[in-house]
Amino acid sequence: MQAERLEDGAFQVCCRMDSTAEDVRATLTDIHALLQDHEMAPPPDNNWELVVAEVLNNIVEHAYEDRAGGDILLRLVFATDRLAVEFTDFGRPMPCGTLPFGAPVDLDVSEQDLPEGGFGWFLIRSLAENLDYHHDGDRNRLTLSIPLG
Amino acid sequence: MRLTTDHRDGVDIITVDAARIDAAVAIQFKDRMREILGNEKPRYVLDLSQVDFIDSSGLGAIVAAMKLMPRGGKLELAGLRPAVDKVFRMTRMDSIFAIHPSAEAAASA
Repeated sequence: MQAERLEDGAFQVCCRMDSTAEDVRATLTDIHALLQDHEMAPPPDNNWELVVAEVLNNIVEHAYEDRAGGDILLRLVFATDRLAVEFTDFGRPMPCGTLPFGAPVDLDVSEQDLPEGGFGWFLIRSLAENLDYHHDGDRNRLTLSIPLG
Repeated sequence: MRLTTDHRDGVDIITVDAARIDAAVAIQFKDRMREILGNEKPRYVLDLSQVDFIDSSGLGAIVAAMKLMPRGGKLELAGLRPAVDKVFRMTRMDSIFAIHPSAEAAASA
């Protein structure tokens, strides 16, 4: 994991992780530690962590079909009022080449029919802005930004 | 993913001894809950007061656990920290569960 202060004062973190839920968790934990080590004021809430976790989980599950051994590159740029994130992976492209709509799930069903999944893109779209996705050659690239406080 | 149980006043308090319920532990959480709920106690309260992060996988695992409740009983939740409470509210899942401020409040409810 590499961290540096950019010319405009923003704080950039770059890292690579393996396509597993465990490595996603370890990466998020390491980012917390890094922010503390550099005495960065912690973001006012954890919206950024939830969005980043959801996107990374989707890459593991869908781009890499839950197979370990795939690379995921993450770049975070913490400015005072927003976090810009770039995700790169070398897995399968998004179906239809676009991001999921992320509709809210329907809870007006019997208890046994309540959904156990499908919340991820709804959460991402509720908390993040400027979502942009491209599949270029062999890689997927997703960028987004998250307001901080 | 450690879950410990404590029976008091007719309520089984299941304490999650972990800071995160996420994709990395969702399956372990569900498996452990299946074991615990097999004991078929009258009321179960999931104490989340040590959990400061859940993602959609964690939420899904908690919903799955609720469906395992014996005799269609309700799985109650307690001690939701702000980040966890937010995920429940955003997805409207807070309307599906009885939510208590603490395990103690749940036990005396």
